Amino acid sequence: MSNEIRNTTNRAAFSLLEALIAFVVFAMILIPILTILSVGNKGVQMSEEDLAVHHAGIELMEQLLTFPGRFLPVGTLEDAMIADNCRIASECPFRFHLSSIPGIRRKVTITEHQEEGMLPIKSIDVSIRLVATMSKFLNRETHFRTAVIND
Amino acid sequence: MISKHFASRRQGFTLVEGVLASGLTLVLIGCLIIVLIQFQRGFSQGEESAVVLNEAGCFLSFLRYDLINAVGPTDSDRTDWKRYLRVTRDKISINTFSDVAGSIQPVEYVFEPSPGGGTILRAQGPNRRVLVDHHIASLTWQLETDVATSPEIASGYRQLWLSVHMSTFGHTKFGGKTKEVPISTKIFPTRLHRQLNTFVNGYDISEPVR
Repeated sequence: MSNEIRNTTNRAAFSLLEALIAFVVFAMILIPILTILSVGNKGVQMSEEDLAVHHAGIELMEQLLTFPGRFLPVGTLEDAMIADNCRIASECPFRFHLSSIPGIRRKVTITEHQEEGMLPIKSIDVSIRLVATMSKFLNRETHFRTAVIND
Repeated sequence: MISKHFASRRQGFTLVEGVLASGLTLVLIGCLIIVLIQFQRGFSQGEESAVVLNEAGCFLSFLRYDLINAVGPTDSDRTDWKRYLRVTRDKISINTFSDVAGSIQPVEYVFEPSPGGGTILRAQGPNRRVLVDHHIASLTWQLETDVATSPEIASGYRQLWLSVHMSTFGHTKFGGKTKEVPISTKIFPTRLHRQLNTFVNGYDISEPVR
């Protein structure tokens, strides 16, 4: 009789191990589902950032292409030197005209190439980097490259 | 004794157990339905946001491409720079090279504001195309200019650009709106700059002074 009572008591509920296994299985099912739910939002945010970066890069590149090539200063212009209404270089008469886009860092590198028998050219590399204030998906840098005749 | 023992083992669920199991099942199904509705809303918002971003990107790409190919009037000099791009609050009018033979066609961008979301149309000759369909919350575009001078270009080098500030949003299937996305950019018509700043008063300012 005492054995029967003990057996009945043992079978009355889940053991701790069973409950833990159930929780782990439940979590293993939920985590991928929740991950799938958040992927769509990440994609939309990355598309928004890519659109802003694309137009910031093209905007900077386009205006550099409007100047005669000889006015483009050779060297690297860091973000602090690339500001709206600031001169491109001290000896250059042209100014930057830029849209205000938070969360990006601009950089321009201009190098001069001269090959024998060829017209001198300048290559332009514009890079736009996303920084923490705008993007949750960091370490993304987009480059825009072209070359102009040094006329 | 043995028969009594077996009977107690086979008796099934009690009412309390049944009610508890039903309650738990209902709670789980409720949670699942809420999660699925949220997922559907999120998916709908994401889908609409993608459409809106695509339309905004398409509009800006068309405008940039048209401005790269824009050509000024042949009967004007650089003092007439306002004739090169005609920009009003709701319309941009430009002439562009439309083919390799050098044909010139007028292109117009028309903004039609509306409380439910503004629309942008592009018209080239008889063709009209809606680029952004009721997704503009606000839009301003304006023509800006600057003149750079130096001893080398004493007559000045005029720059023209179009500043575009827009905010877009989408309508979800559940009657809501997606997050507004602000976009600002400046578009520089490269070919117009060359036309506007070359051969001023018979002097080619694109050549360095010797």
